[in-house]
Amino acid sequence: MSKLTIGVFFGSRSAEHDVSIITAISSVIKPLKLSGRYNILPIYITKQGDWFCDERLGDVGIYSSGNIEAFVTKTKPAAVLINNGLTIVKLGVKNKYLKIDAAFPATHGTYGEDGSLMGLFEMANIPYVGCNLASSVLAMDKVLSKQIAQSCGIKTPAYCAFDAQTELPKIINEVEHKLTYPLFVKPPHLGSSIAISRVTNTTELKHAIELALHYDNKVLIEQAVTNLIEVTVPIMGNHELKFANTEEPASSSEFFDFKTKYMQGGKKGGKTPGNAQGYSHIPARIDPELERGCLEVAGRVYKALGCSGMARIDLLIDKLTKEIYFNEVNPLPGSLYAHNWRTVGVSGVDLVCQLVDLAVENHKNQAQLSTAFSSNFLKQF
Amino acid sequence: MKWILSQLSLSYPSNLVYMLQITEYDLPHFLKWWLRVKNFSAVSSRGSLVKTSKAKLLVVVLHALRLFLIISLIIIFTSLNDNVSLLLAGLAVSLLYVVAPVSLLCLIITLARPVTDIKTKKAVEKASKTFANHPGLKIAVAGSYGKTSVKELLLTVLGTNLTVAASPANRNVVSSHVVFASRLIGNEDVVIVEYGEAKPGDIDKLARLSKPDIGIITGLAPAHLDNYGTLANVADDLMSLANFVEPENLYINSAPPAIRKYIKPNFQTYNNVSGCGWSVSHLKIDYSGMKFKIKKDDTILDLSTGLIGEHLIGPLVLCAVIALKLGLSNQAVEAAIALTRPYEHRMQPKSLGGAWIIDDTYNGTIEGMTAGLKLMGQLPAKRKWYVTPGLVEQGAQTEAIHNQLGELIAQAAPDRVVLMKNTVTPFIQAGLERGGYGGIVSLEGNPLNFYLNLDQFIVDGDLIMMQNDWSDNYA
Repeated sequence: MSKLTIGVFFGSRSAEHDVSIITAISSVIKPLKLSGRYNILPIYITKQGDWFCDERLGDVGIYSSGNIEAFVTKTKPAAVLINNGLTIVKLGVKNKYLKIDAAFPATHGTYGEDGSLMGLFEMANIPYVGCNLASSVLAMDKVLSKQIAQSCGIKTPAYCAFDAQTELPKIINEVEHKLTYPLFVKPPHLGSSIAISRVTNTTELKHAIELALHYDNKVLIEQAVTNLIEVTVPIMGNHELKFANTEEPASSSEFFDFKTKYMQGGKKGGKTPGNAQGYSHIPARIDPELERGCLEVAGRVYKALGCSGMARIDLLIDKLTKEIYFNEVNPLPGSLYAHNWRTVGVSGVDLVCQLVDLAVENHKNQAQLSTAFSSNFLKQF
Repeated sequence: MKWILSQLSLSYPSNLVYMLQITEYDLPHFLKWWLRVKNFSAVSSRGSLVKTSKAKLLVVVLHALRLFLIISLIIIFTSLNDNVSLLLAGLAVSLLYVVAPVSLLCLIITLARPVTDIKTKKAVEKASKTFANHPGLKIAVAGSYGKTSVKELLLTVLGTNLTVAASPANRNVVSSHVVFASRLIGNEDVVIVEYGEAKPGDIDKLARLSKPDIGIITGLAPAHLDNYGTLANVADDLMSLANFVEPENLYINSAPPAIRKYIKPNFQTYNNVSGCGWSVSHLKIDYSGMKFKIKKDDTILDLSTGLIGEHLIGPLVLCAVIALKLGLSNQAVEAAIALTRPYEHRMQPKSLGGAWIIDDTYNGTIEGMTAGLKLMGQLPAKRKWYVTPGLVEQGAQTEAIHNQLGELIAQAAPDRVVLMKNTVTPFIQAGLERGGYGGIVSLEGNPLNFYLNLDQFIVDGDLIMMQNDWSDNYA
């Protein structure tokens, strides 16, 4: 049987462009290659939105050395052909056509994880890893996902949301009327904790709103949960859900900002014995009953948003009242949370293989749906 | 085709000289490798050329030869008109291009040998005098396996109270001992010399050079059978150490059954349950090390070590016995043994995420593999992996020994077996089948890739026992 060709998509026009490169190379391309089951096509999308496809783009050295700049200058961008599937066309004296059997998006944030890429894959009718177009859109909008969760009876922290056109005094007034400090100010479409601020007064609130609106066209302002325990729950599956361990950040910072997550060696681990990333406790230090509650809430959110393949559900717990609040969904978690899956017996290689299998299964199920409808409608013209 | 094309690469001369180095300029061994290898561009994955002046000169000579052949080829093609002559000349030069570098290397090594032999002879005589005149106690450590470990253990244990010198790393041939002798100061209380054996007569030669007072034979196993032919010949070579020391000063690891018939009543013996009158009890073993007691008459020593593996108890008992013989107190021996730690790539536990790797990649005998499989059974794990390429230089015994290895693995019943794909793989697979192994067997074509990316294959609670890794001249 011939090997499936998997296109791994990463980079893109996103504030999380650089994180995406690391996710793609270390947590997707590497284990996919090691599995020996697939041919891999790394497809890198630049910050300007140009697409490139080349074996060399699967090596982190080209990015860390800065040689990527020379590469994208000298190389013609690739084109995309939708012809009963998805084909990447490497333009040259003689064009090279590389057909993709399945896609593995490894982008974070805008123009990728937010459903943009999923729309392309659906148009091309190929299997792809992770949530579909609709659930990606919902998951990547922290306001919409909260609204859906609330409609299913799942608790969320009190919040307000505004678009960029709303005047600042109006926002401040409404927020201070409805919510009490401390607050969290977030750009609703970004992940990796970029541009998220914790504020305790009006001045900080103003600055935080400006910062969030610098990255997004909406701003979400949430009331902080008191006596907080943050818990994340990685989930995998289409219909039958598989849960990794609950995970609790062990950051000394007041909240888990980008610097804490990616710049303090946290991803390399070793700070806290007994966990792979070094900045979290696996499983979370909560009692078994609360843990069961977290898994139940996370599973309900996953289903409510129509997630498939995988997602990471972030929850907030008030440790005194033991209330569990839904915080946000990450449909393509950084590094795929492979370190957590390892704690429940799923290796990095097994994880990516299972995700590809789930993508193929999901695609098969979708293929059974009819997209044709016969009618005499056109005959009347 | 790859065999020919890879000879055209610019790195070919360096790779040839690198292989000469790692085969220790042994021409038959080198030629065997040259005929066996399929791609000369992929031969230096575990190491690279050590740029000595000799090596650099050889590389330059090979480059010059290739340049000469290319120029000749151009001249021939530009001066000949007759197609048949052109074709024949081209073929001849192309053939030369393939065989000339290797032939020239062999010629240079052969012609230089008388000169190097004279130099070596003089250096050996000087080293022999150094050893003979040295006032310290000289301990020779020989054996098919475990000799580097025992040498290092003795160095650690005796070195706590005495001035001790030991031959470095696993450098255990005449040429390395000549260098070692030249570095001795003369004030050492103990000099430990590791003896490497690769062909009949090696042990005798090394013993004549270093003139030991105490001899240790750490084990007998089929190794270097390509040269020895039979295990009996290996045993004869090792036992020749008895000709150089008093019987009561010859210590033999009696654990391997094959060695027992060579042990005379007045030799000293040790193993994992007793040694030189001491008995072993109360063994506890985990990933952090071992604890046990040894008792003789009314004396009891409580020993702890960072080493793991029952097969290492015998060597530790031996170290304790020799340390006591050299005047260390019971407390000093206990403290010294507590300092022992695993050596690089020898039953070395390493934590990786939530898994444990036992790195035993320097293990190259069936005895060592048996010990590793036993240890794997004793250590707790959610899932156990056994990873090996098999053994090299097993001569006519290759198939039988690898069948045996397969059966031993099946008996140990790890959840998963990863075999580094090579010529002996089918024999291990046959053994696994014969042993009724029911777990998962996977074949890995690129061992280094597997070792370097192990974190992508493992999960928390895994134990991965990795035994042996073939060096570039075998891989």
